Amino acid sequence: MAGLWNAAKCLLQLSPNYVCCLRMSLRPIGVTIQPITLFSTVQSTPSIISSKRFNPVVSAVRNTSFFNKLPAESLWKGVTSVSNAGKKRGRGRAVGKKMAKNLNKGQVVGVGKTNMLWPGLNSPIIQGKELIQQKKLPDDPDREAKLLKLRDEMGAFRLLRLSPLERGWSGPKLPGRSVGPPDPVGEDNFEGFDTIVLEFKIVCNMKGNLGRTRRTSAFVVTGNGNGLAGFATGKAQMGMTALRKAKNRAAQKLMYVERYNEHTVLHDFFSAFGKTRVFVQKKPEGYGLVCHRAIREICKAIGIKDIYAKVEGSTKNVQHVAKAFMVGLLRQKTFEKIAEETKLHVVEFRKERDYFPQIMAKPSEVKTTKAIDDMDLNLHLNAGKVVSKRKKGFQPNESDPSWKNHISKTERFRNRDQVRVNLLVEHGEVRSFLADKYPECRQVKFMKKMEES
Amino acid sequence: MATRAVMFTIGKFRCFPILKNRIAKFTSSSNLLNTSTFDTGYTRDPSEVFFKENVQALLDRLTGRDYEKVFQNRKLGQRLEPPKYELLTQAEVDQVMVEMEVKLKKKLQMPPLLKEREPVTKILSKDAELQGFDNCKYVFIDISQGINDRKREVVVRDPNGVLRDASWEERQKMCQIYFPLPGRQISMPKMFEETHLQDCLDQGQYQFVLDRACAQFEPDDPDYIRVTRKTYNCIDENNKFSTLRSTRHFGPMVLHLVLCKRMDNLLFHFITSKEVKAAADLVRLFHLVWSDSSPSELDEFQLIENYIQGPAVKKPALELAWQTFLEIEKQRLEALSQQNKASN
Repeated sequence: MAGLWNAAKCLLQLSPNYVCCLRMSLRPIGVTIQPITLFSTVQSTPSIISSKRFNPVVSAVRNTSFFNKLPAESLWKGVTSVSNAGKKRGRGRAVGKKMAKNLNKGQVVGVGKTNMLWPGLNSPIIQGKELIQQKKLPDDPDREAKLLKLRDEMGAFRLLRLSPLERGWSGPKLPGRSVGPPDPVGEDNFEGFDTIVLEFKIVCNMKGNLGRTRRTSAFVVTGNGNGLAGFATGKAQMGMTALRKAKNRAAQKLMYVERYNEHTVLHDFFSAFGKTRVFVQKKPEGYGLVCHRAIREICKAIGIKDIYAKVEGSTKNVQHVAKAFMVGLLRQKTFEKIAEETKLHVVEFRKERDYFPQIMAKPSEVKTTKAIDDMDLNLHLNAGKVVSKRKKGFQPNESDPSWKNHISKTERFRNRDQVRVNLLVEHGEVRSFLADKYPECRQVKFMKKMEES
Repeated sequence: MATRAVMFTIGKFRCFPILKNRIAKFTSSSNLLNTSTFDTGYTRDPSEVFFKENVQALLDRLTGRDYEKVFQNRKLGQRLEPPKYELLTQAEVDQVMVEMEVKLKKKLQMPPLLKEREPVTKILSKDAELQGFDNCKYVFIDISQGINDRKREVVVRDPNGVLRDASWEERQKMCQIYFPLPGRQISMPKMFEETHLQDCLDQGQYQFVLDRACAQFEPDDPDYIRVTRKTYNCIDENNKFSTLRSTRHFGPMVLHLVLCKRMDNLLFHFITSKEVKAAADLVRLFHLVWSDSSPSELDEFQLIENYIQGPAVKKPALELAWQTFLEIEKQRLEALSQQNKASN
């Protein structure tokens, strides 16, 4: 016996990395010591230990360890390793990082591996006039599996999959997404109103006593698509609260915007807010909203369907972009106002009507001579300033030999699309004069093989 | 057998041989449509009447001048541009309207009613020694600038050696190739074939058909006459006169109906829409065309009554409409006189 214990000590000495103790059981016949490879390889020295009478079986089993002794919080702390200060600063919440999982989720006090009826715990003691007894209920074979599945899904940060109609500007993130109409106030139900989030960010404020305090800031625009719209920002600790605040505040700050024929602005204008400059052009039906994405959402809220807006300067500052655009819209002059100011008829000429004059507004009295400022309406509206237009597109140097070469090659096909259409009209197919003589050079239309039902 | 196209350049002249299988098409079409009594009801040469000044004046008055309709957005598939604005004094506005008058006159210029053209028969020379030079005919066209397409020299050398003036169809095709007019196609569009034309007219696209016919054909082209007469008759049958009002086609249509003695529907339309002046003008036109004299009565009401009692074909309907109109007029005048008395 003493020899064996000495041998064990030797083993321990040989391998200082052993953490657990060896449980030695003595068997009367044919006992062997197997080398344990859990933590480190041990040079087995059977010569020292092997005895003629018994070889003890060594297996690493523990009934108690730190798992049982420590609370869940400190165990998780050991795995995730984020300090208290770190938690306040929001460290350890990146996508790859380990997150603490609440293992009590999915389990109820009183229900465990053995499904038993405990009166007073998971059932009433008296039911009607009977006393309920302890009873073993049939096992739930899936319980383990269900719990494991639940725990697997916890903590895994999966991206929301939204349909294209619900999506905003970028994935499942809030900017560009609709958050419904504002909350009703008294009698106003805000029917026909829709709010869209323009900016959703986390902002911090540093103070001496509190340190860094995080809040979410939401900048939204709300409108009924019929001239009424308003924008506002709301801040709160929780994102949803901030959204709600912003939405309702925007509903309080509605503005009426004049439109031309309910589809575009009244005239071209320029406006600026801070370093953000916006150049807006009036466009005809069917042109669309060709502008900054924030301006597009504001136009949708107001009910403008065709516009060209160029944002220069600070394009990322969404609040400035929105404010510049709104300021410009509100400063628009109606034709009646222009007529009264200039004492001249405001006349519209449209190309599709062969430039037939349409008098949009008449002043109360018309003057007989025009000043320089009255020569161009845009000049009058922009106080003498003119938008400097950039040259658009590729301007070829006509005498360039490479350009001449290009033209000489492409001239053959300059009418090809129209020729195809004409051939289809005349003959029903794209064919040449040789198609009759050589039927194999006719175009064969690709027909999808229909599945035989 | 289709032959290859061969191109020559001889100084100013260029020739373009026409494929043999096309010739048959042209000649057959002109044979079919030489009969001017085809579905029209008159053999008279309309150009005798059309170009008279008093007739033109009446047609002009009947057409009307609805500026909004003449200058409406025709939706021709062109790219839209944003409207332009100008600040104008009253004098400038008036000046612009004067310019618009000129444009309006051009837009309302009436395409003439002519009789069908006679096929071209002039032969320039017969050179039998040249026959069989090729298995297709050669067409030569003078492409000097500044010549009217109807006077341009277009000649054809047939494979049998005959040098002749090109037929109307050959002439139009060649001129369109070298001096293209916008909206005109080299061969007749399928739209003007009978079935397709009927489809268009059933859809009520009268102005479109007539505009395209103006662009595609010459006014004495048998096809043009066929298409326009069919359209006019269709409008007359369906009483859709307002679609052509204030367009350039209204005048020719009215003259056509008068010549066919089918103007009663139009008169009925005028009476029911209370356009007495227009109805009177129409009756005056009738007299001008058929008796070449302006009627003696100066009173419009009398004029119309006389027509209804006399030369009208659909007497019952017209009489009823006229009586209703007179009743309404009487009531209106009574109401007016009562109003005047009250105000006095």
